Amino acid sequence: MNFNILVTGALYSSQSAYSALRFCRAAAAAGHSISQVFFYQDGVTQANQYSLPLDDEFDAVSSWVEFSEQTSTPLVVCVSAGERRGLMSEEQVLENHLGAHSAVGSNGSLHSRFTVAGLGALHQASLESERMVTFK
Amino acid sequence: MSAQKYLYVITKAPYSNATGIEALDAILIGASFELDVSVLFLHDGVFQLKANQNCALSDSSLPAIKQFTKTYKALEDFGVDELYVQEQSLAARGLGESDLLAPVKLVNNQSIKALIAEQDQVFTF
Repeated sequence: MNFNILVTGALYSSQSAYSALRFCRAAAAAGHSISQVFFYQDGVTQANQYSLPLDDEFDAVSSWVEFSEQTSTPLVVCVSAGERRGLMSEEQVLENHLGAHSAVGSNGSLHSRFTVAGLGALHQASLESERMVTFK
Repeated sequence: MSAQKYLYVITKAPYSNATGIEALDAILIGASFELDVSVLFLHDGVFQLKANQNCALSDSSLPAIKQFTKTYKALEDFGVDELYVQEQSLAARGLGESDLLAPVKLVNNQSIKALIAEQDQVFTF
């Protein structure tokens, strides 16, 4: 079966990344495919490359990156939800004239393994998948 | 092939968080895909539809979250078929159909089960 995953819970303060990753790994191990993981609402914070958990804590950002590299699953962040919350690629930082005067710096806060797209990408993927599963 | 059926479920009240306004963005995108779209208001989500909301501040500064809920009334124009409201959620919060800003269809748990069963996709906010 082909799954489309929607993640809306925040980094660290919610269990959404942990549960979503366990689901994705189990689905992949059982021979199912994940068309994409879409991050919306507070879920966009899970793409923040400057997240710094303690050594004995779950590292959601690195875990997403590792899962995506192992399975070639696209990680997609909603562009408007991300910009509202300061999650931006370097290009977006420059386009919006932030850069040096911004807390995110000119490198952008978005981890390079994640891409940005609109809500249309979420709907397109859901049309092409059999099930959508949301992790709040 | 008939249009796919998409249901958007809203479970949070407006203004204390951005759930409603961001759910509405997703609903409008869904409607633009010419899907068979409907919305279900559940639990505190029924507060989204409360009539006579007023976000205006006396010093005319911007509210934390803009007053977006009038858009629910316009969803019909975007091809959204139906707004469903769980009747128990409404009654538990001392509200009735006449307190709402748009015409809705009241549903009980039995009909919600059937409603979800007939969908192709369900988005929960």
